[in-house]
Amino acid sequence: MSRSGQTFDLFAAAIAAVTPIADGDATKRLVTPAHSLQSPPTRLQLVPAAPIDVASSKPVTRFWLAIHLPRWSLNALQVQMVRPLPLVVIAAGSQQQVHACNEAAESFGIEPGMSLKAAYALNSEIHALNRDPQREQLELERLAEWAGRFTPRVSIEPPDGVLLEVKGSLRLFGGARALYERVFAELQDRGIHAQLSMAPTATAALCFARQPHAELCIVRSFEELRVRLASLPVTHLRWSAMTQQLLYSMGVYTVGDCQRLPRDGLARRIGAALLNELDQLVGLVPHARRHFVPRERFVTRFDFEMEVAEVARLEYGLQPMLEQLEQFLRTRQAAVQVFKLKLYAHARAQSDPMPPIVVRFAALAWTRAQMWTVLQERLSRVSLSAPVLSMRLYSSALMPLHEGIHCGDFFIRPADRDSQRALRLVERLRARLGEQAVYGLSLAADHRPELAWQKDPNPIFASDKTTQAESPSARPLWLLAPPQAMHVVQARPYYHGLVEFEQGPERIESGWWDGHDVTRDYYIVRSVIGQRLWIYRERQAPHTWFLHGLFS
Amino acid sequence: MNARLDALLSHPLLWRARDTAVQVDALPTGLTSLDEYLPGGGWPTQGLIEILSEQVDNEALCLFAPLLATVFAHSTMRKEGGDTLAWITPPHEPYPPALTASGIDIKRILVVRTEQTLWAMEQILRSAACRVVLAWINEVSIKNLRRLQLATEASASLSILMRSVRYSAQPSPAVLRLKVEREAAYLKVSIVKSRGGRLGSILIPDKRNA
Repeated sequence: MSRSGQTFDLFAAAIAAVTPIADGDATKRLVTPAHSLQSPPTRLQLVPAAPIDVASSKPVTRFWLAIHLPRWSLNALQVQMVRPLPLVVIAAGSQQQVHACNEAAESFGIEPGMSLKAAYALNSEIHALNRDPQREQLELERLAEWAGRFTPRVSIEPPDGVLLEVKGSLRLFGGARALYERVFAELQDRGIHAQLSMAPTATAALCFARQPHAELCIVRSFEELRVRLASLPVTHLRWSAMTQQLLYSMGVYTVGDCQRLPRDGLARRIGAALLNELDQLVGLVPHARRHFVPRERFVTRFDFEMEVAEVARLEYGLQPMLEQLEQFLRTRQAAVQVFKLKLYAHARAQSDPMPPIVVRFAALAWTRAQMWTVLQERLSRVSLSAPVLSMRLYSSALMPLHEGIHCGDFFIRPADRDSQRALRLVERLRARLGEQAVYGLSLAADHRPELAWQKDPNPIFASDKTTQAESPSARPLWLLAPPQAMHVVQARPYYHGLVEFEQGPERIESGWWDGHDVTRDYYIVRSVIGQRLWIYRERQAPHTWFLHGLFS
Repeated sequence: MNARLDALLSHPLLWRARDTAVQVDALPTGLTSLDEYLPGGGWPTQGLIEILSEQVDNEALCLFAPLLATVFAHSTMRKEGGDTLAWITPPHEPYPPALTASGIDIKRILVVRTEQTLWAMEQILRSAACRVVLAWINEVSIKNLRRLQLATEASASLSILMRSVRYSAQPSPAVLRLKVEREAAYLKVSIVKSRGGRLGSILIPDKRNA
């Protein structure tokens, strides 16, 4: 490294020492004697409290934000409470141990690691829940999906951590501190108890986050990292109990203590793997991590506290599910066309499983409001055969959002927006009235009048000049489907009186090949009250007259 | 104070005699005799129109064929939002070959068949996706008519209600009410109510096809 580069680093370190952000550890830095060995005296004169060596002055290429979730086994269960009750989560196993508890329980002196009996002794009001590791993993994945809004590089650290590599996102979110606060606030909004930290290495960030009451812990440089690691207790590395015991017996309590030991001796005692972990911790060795890859379909469930018998009450659970779906879609820049909602009754209820509610959209849907309006109409047609206890929402395969659509209204052509609006209308109407109730019209190339048009199940609402078919002769505005048989009086068709022939016959013969054989003579006639009718006579016996259309 | 007064006076249910003088946007009906009676010289481009006829099913629609055919060619009828035609519970199937022959763009037509006509109509109006809504509705209370009228004005669209002549005595908030009756080879169109226009009746010789 060049001389000027070093001066710059020193200067930066000096600034870091006086910036309020790094404030929390400034005092620590002054008292940290851990290894003031490598730095030459000249540098010490410049920044006395910050020992610098080659490793610690290297530029920060990765910057990790670690989220540690101390009450994850409780948060993952997503218990909805009307009033705060003391809750504890019990770990699976024979000796019922408290794995996590909420603040209400903590206020009675209950803490993780305690036996359930002891907890009951402290307060008999507590509610005990069973731990659900599967659910924890699922929710952790969901949290990682949520974290995808901050950075594309997210990794999961089971059972209770999520790591975000945020070096590239700092500028977007207005700096490390702003990002830190934003993540923290959003987690709090979701009711998740979390401890955060930021550091240049992944393991270090995790370890700092695990330290209790880590208030705004942002480590910006390797030099600062080294200082702070020195006082980090080895318990936060989560090494096996045996290793920890060994280290304690050697009088090693902090990471700093570890680093002061000779490397080869330490490697012999704790193993090369753990030594490598130590090197990753301080950033001597790069740490490869597997990024979290989100699922390609959306599935979520919601459990009600008590059985829900009215459809209207389902909204309480549907809103959060749709919010998750929206979030899921947004992080993937995707949309759905169909989703399926399954309702489950209690196993006790002796009823057939309820049919799944399928919600189809006329166009791609990706916002909660949009999905909710359609689902709401669809639900108005649903009646519950049994009280519902839980719900599951499945998305169809995801569709990529059209380029123009997701960047706001700015780039959408007005014509597209109009047709979008019409399609939204169609799906809302269909959700309530049924699929068949709403349709568009289209022409078909066929001579048979009833086959010359079709109901168009997917109307596009855009002018299409190519379908201007030439109609050979006058056609009625209204078509009767099916044609009405007419009475015959004095060998002439009768419609409120004898009809007067005006035009015809027009012979239509077609379709003998597909079973809808048509051999008819069409006439335009006028009824006694002056209406113009379109009638035909079958050319085959018994030569019945039919009314097929009404002119206007 | 003035602003509040203006807000009050601009309420759609309030009609002031002065409004007659105001230029109303209108489209020619294609019948000069009818144009003379209507304010602005043609069909209004927005608001609720009520057509009362003996045969709800077929007679009256011919009056609107020119309107529906030209509706999107006129700049006054273009609207931010949508240019779809909605047909709610038509009595029979509207026959696309005839529609295209009279110049109506069938790709813009949306047909809705339901028992819940009023709900569907209100949704359509509220969505502002449709420029013209044709509805065949008979039983509708004055309260619901007013609701439809408000929804129509709010979305700046044109609603055409086709009803039976039986309801001509029922009061209505519609901008225009026409009674269509058949008299031999003529179609008699009487203007029952016309906001800002004259009342009267005309005879249209029935020479039109489709």
